Amino acid sequence: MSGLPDRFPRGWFVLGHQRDFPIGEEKIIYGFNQKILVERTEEDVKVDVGSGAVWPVLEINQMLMVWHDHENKEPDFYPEKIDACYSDEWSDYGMASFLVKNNCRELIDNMADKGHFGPVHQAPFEGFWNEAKDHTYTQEMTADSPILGRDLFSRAKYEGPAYMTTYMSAVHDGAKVESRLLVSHVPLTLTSFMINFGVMVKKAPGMSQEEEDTFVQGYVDANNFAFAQDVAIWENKIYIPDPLVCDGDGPLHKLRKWYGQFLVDRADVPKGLDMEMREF
Amino acid sequence: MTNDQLIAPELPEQLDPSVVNKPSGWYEVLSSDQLESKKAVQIEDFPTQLVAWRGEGNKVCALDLYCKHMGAALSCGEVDGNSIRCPFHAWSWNKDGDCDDIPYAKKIPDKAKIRSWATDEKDGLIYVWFDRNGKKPDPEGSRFNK
Repeated sequence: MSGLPDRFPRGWFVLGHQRDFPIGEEKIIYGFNQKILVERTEEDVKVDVGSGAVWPVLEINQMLMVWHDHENKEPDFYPEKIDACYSDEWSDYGMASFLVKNNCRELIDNMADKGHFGPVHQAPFEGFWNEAKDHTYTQEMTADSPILGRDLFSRAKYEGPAYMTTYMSAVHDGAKVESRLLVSHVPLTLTSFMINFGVMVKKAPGMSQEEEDTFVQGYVDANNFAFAQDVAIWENKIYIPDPLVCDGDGPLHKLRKWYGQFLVDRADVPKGLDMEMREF
Repeated sequence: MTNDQLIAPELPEQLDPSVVNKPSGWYEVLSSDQLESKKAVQIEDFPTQLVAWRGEGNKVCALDLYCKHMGAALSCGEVDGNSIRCPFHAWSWNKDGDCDDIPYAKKIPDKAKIRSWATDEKDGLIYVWFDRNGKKPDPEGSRFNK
């Protein structure tokens, strides 16, 4: 297994939705080549990774996250609060999980991989922008698709190597629909990872709870379908460390360098990883 | 969930033919009826991993399995004319391993080339020529049947 990273990346990792960790219940999660015990008490949440080691925990945007750091240092960044996660105007996240047999870095390429949307997702787009800034990487996209919606706009943002949130708006049947997507993962081993994704929608006026649930589930199903298209590729590929790119490709090398900062000690993070927002 | 979750799966790989200790010759990889026209298959029974397909002229073509661009298995792609089109970004590769189309690029990069393998079809069997140093195929070379 040469060519694999020698460690798991540094950053915040979503263990699950807060509601799945009720008070007084101990839960086992597998990740980072080990068994992780999560226990919520009246006061706080404890994440025990064995031999008494305790990793920093964060509860934000409805998610329970843990900080993984090869150097065992305190977090040097935090995800931003998303107001919609605390608003009655939005549904809660509907969640789903699935396993992918490959190194978790495969997931990241999608941010800059402009060329795969047509062949893999049958989703042509109009505009495509990328930005790298400190621990964040942002992708913006516009499209006009009979399937995904008219006047589609999406902004996807990674905060660290494993927590990505997307805002999306589209016009369906003449009405604007706003949604938010969460794409997070926990590496199990160096060659497998669990994707935890979530979908929330902005409630339409007069929508009943039942209608809202159906709507959210529809989005979960649609995203499951799209991920299955990616997984079919991810599980049947080799990693090309230095891809031969063409003039129509996005900034794949830039993106991989940005991701590389989470795979080295902090003292070894190179300068010049930022990239101003620009169109590709 | 059990501890099975912590068993690391093996990843696909493309073996380097120059380090494979196998004799030169024609290796039987399929019977002719196992490869339909316009279909691509993955060949595991060979010193390295291959994709084989039949193009328009019914000729059997074989290349290294994984795309030189971003590494996807070409056997998951589609036969397009005499070429194989990658499922990941739709780059098209001909029987000589040259990239002949990228739908979204103005120019095909000069280095876009995949290792190609000589094939032969004889008595209802499909053979691929292997030589670890890339020596030209010898029609009279040894035949290794399954």
